[in-house]
Amino acid sequence: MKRVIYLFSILGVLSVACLSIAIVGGLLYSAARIDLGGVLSAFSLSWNPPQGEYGVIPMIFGTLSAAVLATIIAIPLSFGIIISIWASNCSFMRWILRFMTGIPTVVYSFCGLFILVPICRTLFVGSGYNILSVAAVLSILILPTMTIIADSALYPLLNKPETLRLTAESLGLNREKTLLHIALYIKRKWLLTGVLLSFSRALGDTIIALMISGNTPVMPDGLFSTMRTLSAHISLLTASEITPQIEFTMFLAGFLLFSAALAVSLLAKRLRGE
Amino acid sequence: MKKFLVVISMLFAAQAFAADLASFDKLSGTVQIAGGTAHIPVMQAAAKNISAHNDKIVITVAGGGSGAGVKMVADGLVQIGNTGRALKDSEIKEFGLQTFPFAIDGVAVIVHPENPVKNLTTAQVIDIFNGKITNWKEIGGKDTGIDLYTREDGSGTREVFVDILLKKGAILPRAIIVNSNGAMKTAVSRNARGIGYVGIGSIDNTVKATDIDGITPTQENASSGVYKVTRLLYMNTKGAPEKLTKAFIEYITDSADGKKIIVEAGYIPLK
Repeated sequence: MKRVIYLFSILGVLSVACLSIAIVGGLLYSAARIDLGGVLSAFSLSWNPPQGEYGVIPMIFGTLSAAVLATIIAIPLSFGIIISIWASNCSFMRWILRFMTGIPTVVYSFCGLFILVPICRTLFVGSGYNILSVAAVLSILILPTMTIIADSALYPLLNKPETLRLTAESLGLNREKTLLHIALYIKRKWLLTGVLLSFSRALGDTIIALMISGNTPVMPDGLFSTMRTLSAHISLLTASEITPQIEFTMFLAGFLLFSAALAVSLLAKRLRGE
Repeated sequence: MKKFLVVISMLFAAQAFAADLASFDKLSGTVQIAGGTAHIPVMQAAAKNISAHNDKIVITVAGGGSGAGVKMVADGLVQIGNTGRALKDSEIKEFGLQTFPFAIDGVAVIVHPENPVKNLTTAQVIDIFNGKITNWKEIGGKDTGIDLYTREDGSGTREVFVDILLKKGAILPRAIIVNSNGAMKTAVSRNARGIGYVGIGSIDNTVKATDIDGITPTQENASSGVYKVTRLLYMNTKGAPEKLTKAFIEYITDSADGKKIIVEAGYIPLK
């Protein structure tokens, strides 16, 4: 039994190691095939391959702004859901959230494309393909992740009589007050972990951005501006003629997304004091 | 008498149908096809006829765009990689590709069906796509902004549009990028301010194709050469195609069925 456990842990570690090696190796290999000017051109503001400009900064900026905005939208929503779950002790809401995590993201994106984009076009300026639409759909995508992590941290604290609940009740605090004034404070690191992991999920999602961001490789200049994310960039480049420079760009974008996920995950780990 | 003639002609039609498909009788295996999205209706109709005739043959059709078509056939991932543009010399040399043109397609500018603009000059199209004209009012439409739609780098439709209609002019970087002929049609059909471009074969009543310099983009005008924004559609193979792939290509390029399929998809057969 022990051997089997070891075998599978080794397999798990190996698969992550292989992925890291593939990405870093691919990045270095493709960088070696182009000259220094080509590598440096990746860090410029302009993406225009026919002119020899291969900047990915607009895509980095687009990815970050959509993910940050999505997280900002999702936090109050998630907070509201947590309170309503605890006020009503409604297990149906939990089931809904778990179910939501299983919905393929393409379903969210085509609903966004056919409903949200036209609404955005009528209500605001521009074409409706913009950062705000992407962030709104992403926020719905990450909402369950954020809420479930917070809820599972709070659950033992508020449900086991021998922990917080009895003390709080003896002090005359009802469920909501216990949650708002004590439990959320005690579990603040977990709440932040939930926020970080959802942010990481928003960073990496591809199809939502691909369908409703407009995919313009230019620096966004406002909430109603079109944009392109790093993940959509990789996806769109697979359809183009893949020169060594394009290949380098794809690996660079992949490396950036990989590093961002790693950094967020390490930060979350550290936060919880593990 | 009339009925009799109809029956006779139907019999002949059935026979022609069978004769075209006879070359698939003893074959079996798989043909995988990917690439240009304008080709998909033709490929699918042919695949449907062939697999209905002989169920030992499996034909899969995917999109991806011309760039992906070249890449996938060069890597040996598919037997046929479709392109909506001629192969580059470098692609022929480096990957040993063979090319089989089969149809003429025009690329037309499309707008929302309710857009009052009926005709655009080449100069207007150039200025709309490079961002000099930003309101429909300037060219006889309503007082609303213009939402530009374009295709991704590597799209054959984009290449023809830019090379011939825009005379290699630039497309505003802010243009919204969609990645197939179908997606372009859907996007423009749902946006009253939108303008984009698709292969003429893709046009239906959900969008309106504008005249260019007074010439309506129809397949007749495209084949006669009056409408200039045209291209050929190609199937490409790595080296000489093997038996089944060859039969598939010949079915599309040479048979009466193939011509019918090409016409029904909205294109003009080459032979």
